[in-house]
Amino acid sequence: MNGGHDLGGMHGFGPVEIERHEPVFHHEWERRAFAITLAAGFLGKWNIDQSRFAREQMPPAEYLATTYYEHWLFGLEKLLHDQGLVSRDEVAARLLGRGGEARPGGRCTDAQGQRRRAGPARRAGRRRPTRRSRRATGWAIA
Amino acid sequence: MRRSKRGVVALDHGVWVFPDSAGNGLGRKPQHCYSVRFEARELWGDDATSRDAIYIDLWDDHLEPAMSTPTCPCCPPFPVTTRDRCSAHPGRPRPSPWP
Amino acid sequence: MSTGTTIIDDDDDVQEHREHGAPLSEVELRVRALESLLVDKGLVEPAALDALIDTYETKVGPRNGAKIVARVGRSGVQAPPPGGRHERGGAEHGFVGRQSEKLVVVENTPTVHNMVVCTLCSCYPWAVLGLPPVWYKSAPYRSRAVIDPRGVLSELGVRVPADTEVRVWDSTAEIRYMVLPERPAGTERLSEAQLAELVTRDAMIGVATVPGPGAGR
Repeated sequence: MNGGHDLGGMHGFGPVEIERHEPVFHHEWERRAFAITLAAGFLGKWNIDQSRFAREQMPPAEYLATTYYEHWLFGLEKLLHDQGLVSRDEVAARLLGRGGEARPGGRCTDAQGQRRRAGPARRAGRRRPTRRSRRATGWAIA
Repeated sequence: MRRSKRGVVALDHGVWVFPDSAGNGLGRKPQHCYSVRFEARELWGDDATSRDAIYIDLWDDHLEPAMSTPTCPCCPPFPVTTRDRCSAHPGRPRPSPWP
Repeated sequence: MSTGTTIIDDDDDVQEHREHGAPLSEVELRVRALESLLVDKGLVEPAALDALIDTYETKVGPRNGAKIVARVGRSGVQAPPPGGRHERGGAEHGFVGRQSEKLVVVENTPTVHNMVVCTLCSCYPWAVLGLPPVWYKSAPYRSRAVIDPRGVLSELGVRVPADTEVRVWDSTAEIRYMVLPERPAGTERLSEAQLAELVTRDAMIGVATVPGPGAGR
């Protein structure tokens, strides 16, 4: 069953809108959403496929009505909650200004390292071609 | 949802973790990922141009051979058909890529 | 320009200019709350966050891809066969994907025009092109690029002859695609650095052509 994110070939979304000299981030919250998503990914608690799946759980109508980094935020909140790292109740409490109980310790993340742990795993050196791929290997459409 | 579309394996990307499985925490299920060429008319009907093509990255689980007899390596690129039902786990997180 | 494309200029009020003292939006509040919780719990380091932002806002961008294009065109790295693909990892040109994904470079020729899309999300070769623009991640592009590529290209100013084949590559998280645009005439005497200056991000996605030297960009 497809979610709201499966858009290939669908109609009715209108023209492609181009923004001249578009900045990398349009808002400060986008910068922060981007950074905390990547940094949380370095914890190694989920892989990239799970992170995409989490975003794809957004209800279709909401997915289409919200922006890219709002999808990221949705996915991150879900992953953190499901992994028991940051619950939705804690976020709600923090929003209300009651604060959460800070728990010192845990893992520090290094932006320069551990990126591959959360990424797709290429099984280097363990190519196990299927019957189909043995025939397909090396052929290309001219 | 478009299934049972006929395409041709253009590139073999090698063995990768299968996202439909790994994304659901159901194991890596490593398998080949291919770039499969679909003619535009195969996907969109006769209104589409006859000249253009779409290349989609698909995995072994998404595909089945389009012919029953094996072809030799010197034959044209291997034709495949997208499955009517993906063989990945039910409730997999990512639907079989269109078509 | 056809009415099918909307151009948003700098003068337009695209970016939110919040008045001093105006309340934060819900999404801003949520991001702040989440970040503060992650930091308080020791799960992320503020310095790491700043480094990530700095990396992708200022250090990683299309200049990386442009260097590859110029290198292939200038210094003798073997180009892919006409209409074929260049199956060398980004690492071979000095750029490694964030998750070590595979980079496939597909070459434009007089008979083949390639363009790249991710219909399911926004998969994009970050290491060589930086972060994707909003339009690449948008529903209009993701939906129409595969079913009406010529229409999208036309709206973006690329006229593909009827006898040229358009190939649309639907990317995934594992395999990323970049277009090797056609080298324009009049660039034979240019250095690699000069060539790289001509190559745009949009040309490497496949929705623009590379202008010749001296052409308006």
